[in-house]
Amino acid sequence: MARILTIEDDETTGQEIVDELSSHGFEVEWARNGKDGLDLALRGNHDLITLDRMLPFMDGLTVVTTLREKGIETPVLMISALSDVDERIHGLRAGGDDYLVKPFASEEMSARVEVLLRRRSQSERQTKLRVADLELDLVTRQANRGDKTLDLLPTEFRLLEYMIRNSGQIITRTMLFESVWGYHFDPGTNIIDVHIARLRRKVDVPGLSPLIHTVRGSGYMLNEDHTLNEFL
Amino acid sequence: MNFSELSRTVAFRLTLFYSLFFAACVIMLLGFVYWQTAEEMTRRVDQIILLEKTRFAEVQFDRLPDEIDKSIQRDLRHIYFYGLFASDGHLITGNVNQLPQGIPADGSIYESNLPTSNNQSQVFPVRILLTRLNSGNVLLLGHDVQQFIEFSVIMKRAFFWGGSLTILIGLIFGLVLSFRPIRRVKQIQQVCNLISHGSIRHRLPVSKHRDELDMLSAIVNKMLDKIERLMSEVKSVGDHIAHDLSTPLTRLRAMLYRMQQQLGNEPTQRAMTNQLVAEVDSLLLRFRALLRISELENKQRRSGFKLIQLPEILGQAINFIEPLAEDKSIKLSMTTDKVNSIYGDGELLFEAIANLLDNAVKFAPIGGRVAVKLSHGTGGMRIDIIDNGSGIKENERTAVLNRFYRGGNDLQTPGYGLGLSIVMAIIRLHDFGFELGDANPGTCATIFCWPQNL
Repeated sequence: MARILTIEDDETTGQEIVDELSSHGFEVEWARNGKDGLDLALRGNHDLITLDRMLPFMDGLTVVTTLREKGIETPVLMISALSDVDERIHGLRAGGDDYLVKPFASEEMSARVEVLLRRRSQSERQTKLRVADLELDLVTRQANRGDKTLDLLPTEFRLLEYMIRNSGQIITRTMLFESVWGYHFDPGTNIIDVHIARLRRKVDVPGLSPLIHTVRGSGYMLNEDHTLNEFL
Repeated sequence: MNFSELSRTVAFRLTLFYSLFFAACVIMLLGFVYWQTAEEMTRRVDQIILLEKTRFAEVQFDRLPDEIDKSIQRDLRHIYFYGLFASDGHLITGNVNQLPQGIPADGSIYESNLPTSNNQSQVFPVRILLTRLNSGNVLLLGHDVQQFIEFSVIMKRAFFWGGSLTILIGLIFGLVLSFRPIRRVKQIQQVCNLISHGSIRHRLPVSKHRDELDMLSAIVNKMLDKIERLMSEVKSVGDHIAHDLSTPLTRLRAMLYRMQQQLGNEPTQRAMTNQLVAEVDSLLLRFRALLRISELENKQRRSGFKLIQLPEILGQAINFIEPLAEDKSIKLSMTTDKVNSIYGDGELLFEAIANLLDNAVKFAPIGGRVAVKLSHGTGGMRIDIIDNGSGIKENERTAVLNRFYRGGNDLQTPGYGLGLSIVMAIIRLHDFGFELGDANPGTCATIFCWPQNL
């Protein structure tokens, strides 16, 4: 079970984070100010930290910078009411691994936590990714479903790569947009859905068990588990 | 700046008025000098004639012809006229052949013209006096006033050139003096254009001269400060509403989402919850868009600005929108000139272009076409995004840029009427220009990628 440290001064938001992450089966420890949060982060053996940007006694940027200076590489999800691009850049440069703007949907936060935890356990040197009979060769940039080669556009390949890397986890539209296109704004239309629909037509051809699933109200999930469809 | 513009300035008109006034004064002064001089000259000539008359009156009758001849001989400049005529008009002696017509012999001085005895065809303007002597003879005494005429010509020439030069110099000064006010007015006009197009942060230029234009500009600037503050207060109320409502809405959505996850397979309940989540999502999208516009409009720092390649960004945006176009069988094409890199925020320009492309695809008919052109404009690069949809009516082209405005044509298409407001906020942040035009049929959205500011 992953251990998560939440550093958040706002009671309602903190409770929301704790409830959401606990419901996902994580063990959550909650610090209500920057100083306590840093102490806990330095002492405890956490798998991930959710860190508010503006905290009493010590702000979030100082906390993450101190952690990195002391060689602690625990993934940090920065959470902030400051949506400005500059603030995001500051947060990520200071050592944050991802940045989430308040107010946020709980499932968006938990999805990002899951992806960060998964990223930590993955090896960057992998050259092939596989889920069920879907295989991606990261060197030749070729995708196969069974013995059939998929004719994917570069964007579709990147989408699929991100989904396979995080298979079994909910991926929101914003996360897809940020990681595949590298931009951080709300595309606002159903464009991500249209991209996924096009990818799905190529990956989940009729006759094969579907791998790309829509998680209603949240986003998508790539998984070989057929039973998923029953509650998604 | 043309003559017509310059000639309408207050400086020009005042200078011209003063020049005309000054020219009139010069002419009047010269006229007065001329009149006084002419009077004095006439008085002196008349005095000379009267002195001559007195001198001849003292001469004995029989010596008069000799005296007249001597006087003629002494007059080396030939400016005096003498004549002694018998009572029948016959010339006894003198340098005048005959008595002038119409001049009475009453001892008064008149103006007339006289031919000389040497040359009958040459006539001289003269001051003349005729007096009848006791003997019945008539004595004629005259003085050439040709120099009066020459003096008059010189004075007339002086009137003409003096007046003309004064007016001409006034005209030139008027034009020169008008340059600065016209330049200032042009600057003010440019700033006013920017303000009327929504860039209310601009202010009229105020120079260190503190002239009347500066005084006016300062008053207008003060007024603009107040308007901007009021607008900002109104806007910040809107932004605060959006900000304050988005937190409870997000929580509401989270609760609905949990409900959605915990519900069984009862189809009516599921459908209702899905509908509720979708409605809250749509509200959140609007609030996020409003906050995004506000964030862009308030953004002063340009830390995301760097040299970027527009073809690359256009390519990415086309690639991003392509599946939407594909779904409607729309042909999406791009042509690009060889262009240099420009200074801007790549992420924001991607957002603006993707938004415009999304609109173009939305409004193009099934099987239609959307073309993206990157070319050289008058001041830099220009991006044209052209669709062959039904177009935007001319009277709606400005209104569609306002928040929440949805034209007659867009009511059937999904959207909140905020996309173009976001585009405008990005364009303004870059100080670029934007225009919606007619593509006959369809719309041509153009971004002018060069500074529109002063």
